[in-house]
Amino acid sequence: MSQKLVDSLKSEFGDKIVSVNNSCGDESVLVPGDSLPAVLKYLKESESCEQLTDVIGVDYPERTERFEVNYLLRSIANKSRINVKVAVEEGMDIPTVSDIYKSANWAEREVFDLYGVKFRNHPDLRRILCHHEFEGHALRKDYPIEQGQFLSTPEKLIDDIEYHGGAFRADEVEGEDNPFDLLNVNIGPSHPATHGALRIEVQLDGETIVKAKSEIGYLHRCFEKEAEDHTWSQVMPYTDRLNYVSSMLNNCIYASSVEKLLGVEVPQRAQIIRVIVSELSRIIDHLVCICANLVDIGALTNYWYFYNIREGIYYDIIEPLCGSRLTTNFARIGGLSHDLFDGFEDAVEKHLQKMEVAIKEVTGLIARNRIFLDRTVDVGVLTTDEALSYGYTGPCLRATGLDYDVRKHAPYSGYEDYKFDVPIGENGDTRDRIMVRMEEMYQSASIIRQGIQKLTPGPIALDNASVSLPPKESVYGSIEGVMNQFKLISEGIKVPAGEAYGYGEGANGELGFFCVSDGTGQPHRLKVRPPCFPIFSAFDEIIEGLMIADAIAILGSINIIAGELDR
Amino acid sequence: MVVDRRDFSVNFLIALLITNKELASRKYARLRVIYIWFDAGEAAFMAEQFVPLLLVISLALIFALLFLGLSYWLGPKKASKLKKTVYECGIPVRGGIEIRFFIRFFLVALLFLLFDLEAVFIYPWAVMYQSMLDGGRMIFALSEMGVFVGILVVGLVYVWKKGALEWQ
Amino acid sequence: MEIITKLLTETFGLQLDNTGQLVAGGLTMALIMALVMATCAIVWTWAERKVAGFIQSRYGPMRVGKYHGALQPVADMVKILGKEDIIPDDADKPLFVLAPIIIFIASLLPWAAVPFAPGFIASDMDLGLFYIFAVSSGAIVGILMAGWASNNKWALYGAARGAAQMVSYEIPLALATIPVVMRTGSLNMNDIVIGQQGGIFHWNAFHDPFLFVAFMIYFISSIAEVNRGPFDMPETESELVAGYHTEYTGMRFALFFLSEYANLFLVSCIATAVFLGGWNLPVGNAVVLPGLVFLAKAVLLVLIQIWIRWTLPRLRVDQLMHVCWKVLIPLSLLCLLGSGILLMVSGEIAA
Repeated sequence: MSQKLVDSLKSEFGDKIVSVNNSCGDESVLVPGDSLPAVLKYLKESESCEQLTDVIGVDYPERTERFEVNYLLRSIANKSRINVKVAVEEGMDIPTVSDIYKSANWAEREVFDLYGVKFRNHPDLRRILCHHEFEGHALRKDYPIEQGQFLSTPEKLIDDIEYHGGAFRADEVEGEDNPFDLLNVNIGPSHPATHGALRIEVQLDGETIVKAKSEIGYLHRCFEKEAEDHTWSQVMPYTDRLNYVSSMLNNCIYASSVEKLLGVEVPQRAQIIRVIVSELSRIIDHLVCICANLVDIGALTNYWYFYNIREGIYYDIIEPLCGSRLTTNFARIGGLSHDLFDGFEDAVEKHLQKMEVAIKEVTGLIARNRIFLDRTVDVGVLTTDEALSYGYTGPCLRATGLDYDVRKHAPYSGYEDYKFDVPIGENGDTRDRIMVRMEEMYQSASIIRQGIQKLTPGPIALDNASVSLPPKESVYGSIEGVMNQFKLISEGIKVPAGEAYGYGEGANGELGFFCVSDGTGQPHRLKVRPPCFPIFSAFDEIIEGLMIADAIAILGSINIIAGELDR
Repeated sequence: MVVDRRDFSVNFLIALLITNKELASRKYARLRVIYIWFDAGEAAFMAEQFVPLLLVISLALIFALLFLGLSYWLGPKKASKLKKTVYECGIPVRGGIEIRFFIRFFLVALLFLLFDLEAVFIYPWAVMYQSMLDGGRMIFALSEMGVFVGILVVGLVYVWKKGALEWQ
Repeated sequence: MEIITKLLTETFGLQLDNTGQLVAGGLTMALIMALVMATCAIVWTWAERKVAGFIQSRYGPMRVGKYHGALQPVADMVKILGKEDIIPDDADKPLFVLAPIIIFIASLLPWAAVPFAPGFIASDMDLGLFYIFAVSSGAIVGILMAGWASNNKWALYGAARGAAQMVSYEIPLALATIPVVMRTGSLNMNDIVIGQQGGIFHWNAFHDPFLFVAFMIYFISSIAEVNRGPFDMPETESELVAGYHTEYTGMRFALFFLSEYANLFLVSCIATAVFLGGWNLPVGNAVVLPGLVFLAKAVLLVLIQIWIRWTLPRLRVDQLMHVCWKVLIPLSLLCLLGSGILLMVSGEIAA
């Protein structure tokens, strides 16, 4: 399908296309920086590429045009993807596309922040993940990984002139001496409703939010820089910390992304187990999201009804499975770390039944509750077009009425063999986001049951000495085993040079890993495409004109996990 | 000594002194003038009603101060500059709270005055209502308040239509 | 009051003149009230946590004290006594210090007019009901004071919301009791309770449909009046961090907390006295263990309030105002009118 896009681009832009490349099935075209907006505009309008998934910078210090910026585009209607690349010399700039895709706004800021690539005419080109006083660009290869910086002053999100905007307004209208009319308040970083550390500075007129500006990066630890300093397998535990609520999903999608680059396919049993644990993680994530959101709305009791289930799944299933609850580190490149424990099926069934009871109880408490409906219906509405432009995926996009689900759209790990529905909402408001998640838990339960039916004995890891660790007997019993283990651990899996964008349906939406390998055991570049990041970029616009209480309810419903937002 | 006997505070003070009608009539018989102006019986009655209140107030104050004193005595005193800053989610505060207060709240206060006064005026009528009915002045009793409440209802409808009850 | 004075003079053989009787009796009564209130507040913090726990399929406090964390509130009080008292540099110090004391006093004062049992009332005043409403609004001043003095934006919002909410809901609260006053013809709390003798259908709440609606209005407004969920606007821990008491620590915070629970119990007691027949039994005229009957009813109401709090989501500020001004106030005016007509008609029929 993607080939068609390339052909169409070739016929439209002709020799402006510098080169075309296909790596691991991902089509990419290299275009000169200046024609980038035209290409993207064409793709959006003529080839219905509704979504700019991510903008990814890569640093190649040895090239003259040192930075490569990848624009990942997706057409949901045509089920195709294309990667438009631009090469930039250090100090040069490229035109922004934030007027074409709203998601480019934050994504370009991230590239600017971490690589120093400038975007011409960008409306708000500031640092986004790093502190505003940070010097240098962290992801450049010449930035030493150990180098820390001491940064203290919080950024002024709303600058002084804007800050006194209320003052000018009041002066003009009434000529009063006392200038203040609007009140500026920081919601976060240390606020009960932010569920992590993020900051929104709001300008309030009474209870109404007149202007909002958010700041993220409080949990930024430059996961991507860390990844470049570790072998491919050593990155696995770091992925636990992305979306720490559903770490299994991160594990599995990361592993499958690297496998895509390796060009290998894991055994059947491993795939099924990955699906089962992924869906369990999705259930956990949705449980936590909904219960926390309801707490924000003030319905505290629902929290325990859901949280108890989550705890049950953690203690009775996840912990016996991989030894810990949150930092699972379960998947391996080429398979899994452990096989299922005895009694796994029964434990899962028991907890799924409990979950269904809990969902019924919570639905009973809120579904027709007048207060709940008043608080959520038509609050924080986002239309499908806006949502697509902002790069929304997952439940938040489906709540607007579009049935885009990676598991159906581009099946991986054998999802095509499972029967399940993709629940969608109608208005894209807070209630829809909650209810879509509720329904998805039922669907996940159904997928898990189907997966358990499908389970057959078999290997859980690839029988491939260059990818999978040898079994322990062989390590302790034979010199070949020891050597194999030693090479894989100390040098890492030698992933062939190339690049691939592996993605899957995370709990909040599309979770992607853009992997660039230079043939050594360590990633040259590993970019996470967290679902939260584009979702949160729309937050300022959604809440302007609403009340504080609405902003809190919306923030809960879009499920921001600071771990993957800030990476 | 001419004092309006309806003056509450004076009555109250006297009530504290003279707490019994008989007592008053016997001991202060010669102070006829006082007895006329200060109905000592009423005073005593009021004392019975309000002295406990005075006691409750002082007791509450004592309790509150006791609690606060205890905690002042027992609690640690390790204040620091940072600890004593005002909380705004971990960000140093910019600007104060001396803003012009949101007009909404002002409207609510005005409406409150209006309607709470109304309620206050209805109370005496409500107390007398039954006896008015018993006295056979039914239509008067009801229509009197009907007119009063009616005017306020019209006011409420007006305020409602004007949008003063909308928060946004 | 009479009971106490009788007890003092007869049992303890104190020789008191009238003034002495009054002061001693009043003092004892006030002391009892204060202790009851303080104990209740403390007990209710525990009870709320236990009930919430049961509603939420968990246990609540279990460790301190032998039975189900029974000594938890004591441990909390001891802990809070040992907490540091912090006053922000930017705060308006005198107001900051005064606010919790005012709220505490305002939550204690109304107890003087609550008739727990025949004769067991600190001040049997004719203006009883009116007095209760008058003094309990003192809390509004305290909340505004606390929010303003903290010099904290969240606190300011909490205070502004709290004041707006409490003054608004005071109106339906007062209006809802007027039908009762019309029926009883008195504002004296004792008289109101005595007027409800003779079984459940003589209780004001179940006497006629208008009074029942009035009772409902009273109950809803009273939840809002004491700032409890789903009307906990001044605190809204997920929006305003902690609302008007954001800057308060240690014992000052505890005073707010105690007052909240005292008020919770207070509005239930008033509802019991005004609408649910006070110490009267559901059947018959006999007065049996009046104090216990009264407490049982009040406790039931408190439990219902706790149940509501842990069941319903929170309203938004504008919706809260909407409920008050556009639903409860018109409805209570209607009740007033309906009660008037009903009294007239029933009087007519009786005649």
